[in-house]
Amino acid sequence: MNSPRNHISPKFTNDPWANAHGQLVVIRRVSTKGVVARPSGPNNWGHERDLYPANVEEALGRFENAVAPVYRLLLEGSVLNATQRHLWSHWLLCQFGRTPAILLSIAGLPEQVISHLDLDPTANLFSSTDEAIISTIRGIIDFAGNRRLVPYLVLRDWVIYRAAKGTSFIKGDNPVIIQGALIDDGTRIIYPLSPNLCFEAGILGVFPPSQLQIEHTITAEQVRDINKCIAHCAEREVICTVDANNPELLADVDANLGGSGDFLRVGDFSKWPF
Amino acid sequence: MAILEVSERRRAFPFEAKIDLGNGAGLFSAYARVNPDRTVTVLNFEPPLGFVEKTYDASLARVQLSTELRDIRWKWLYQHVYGSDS
Repeated sequence: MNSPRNHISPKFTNDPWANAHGQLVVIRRVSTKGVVARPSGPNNWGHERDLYPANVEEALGRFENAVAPVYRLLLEGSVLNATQRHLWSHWLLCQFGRTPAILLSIAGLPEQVISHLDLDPTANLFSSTDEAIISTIRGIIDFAGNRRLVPYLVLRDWVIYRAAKGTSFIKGDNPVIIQGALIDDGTRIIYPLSPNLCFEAGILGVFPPSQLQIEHTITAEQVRDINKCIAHCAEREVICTVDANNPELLADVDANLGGSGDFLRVGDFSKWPF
Repeated sequence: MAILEVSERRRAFPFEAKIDLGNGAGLFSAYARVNPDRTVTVLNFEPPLGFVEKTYDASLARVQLSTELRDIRWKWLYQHVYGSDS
């Protein structure tokens, strides 16, 4: 019997990329030969086998059921109320923190902190790498429910980008992108919702943000820039619609896919103003 | 601690790290100084206490100071907007 399949990107969030026949396209790098595109479906993409224990999977499922209606509201262009904004902010943390690349990064944080603080390099908070990873996976729900992190998301201004006519957004296997530290004003949180819509949380103007939620149509070049960013922050794969699968997109994904490799970073203290 | 006037605060804390919420509802300023022993002292405005000095040792100051100064704005704003702690 196969081990259980855990979705890192739930089906309801993949559905918008599927056509009437339930098909979408997965673009993945294959060794040194560049990227290849293959057909798939919203339920067959964005999962790993045996990634979460059963209790974590069940908790994630309950969370997904709660957030799915809010996801639909955003697709419909509805403005979220305060409760829905909080739920969506928790969802952004959940979707960010549940992918293998992010889990590994979080598990490696104690080691990063120790290396930055000039402490005993043999010191570690965990006795083994496996223990660190297991602890991180068990902490997904705590991370998603972290009330201390929510203000950095719920208080920002939210923009729903609409793709220019004839263009569309892709989505990566790290669906939520956090560019910068959550605490910083200039940080951007990007999450493609559908081929036509991409969510971004940021600060319009200067601090303090006003908790705006607006929709804004962006140019084809701006869509292309966001897609490059999505590919850059993906670990191995991105998805696009069947119609969007063209040589230009494949070339952009090939040039950027998996370019980040640095999903969480402890601050560079040497630049502190002294 | 006596409440210092702005000009006095600037002299006492030459490495000022000023935070201006900019919305007229609440101006928050924090000033910092580096002490000869490499400790760092921050002058925080903490309602209802007023200005409160906090000194950190060198090994922790870089982490706590930079985080604290940025974080406190978000906490203040959350209380201002949603009327409670997060």
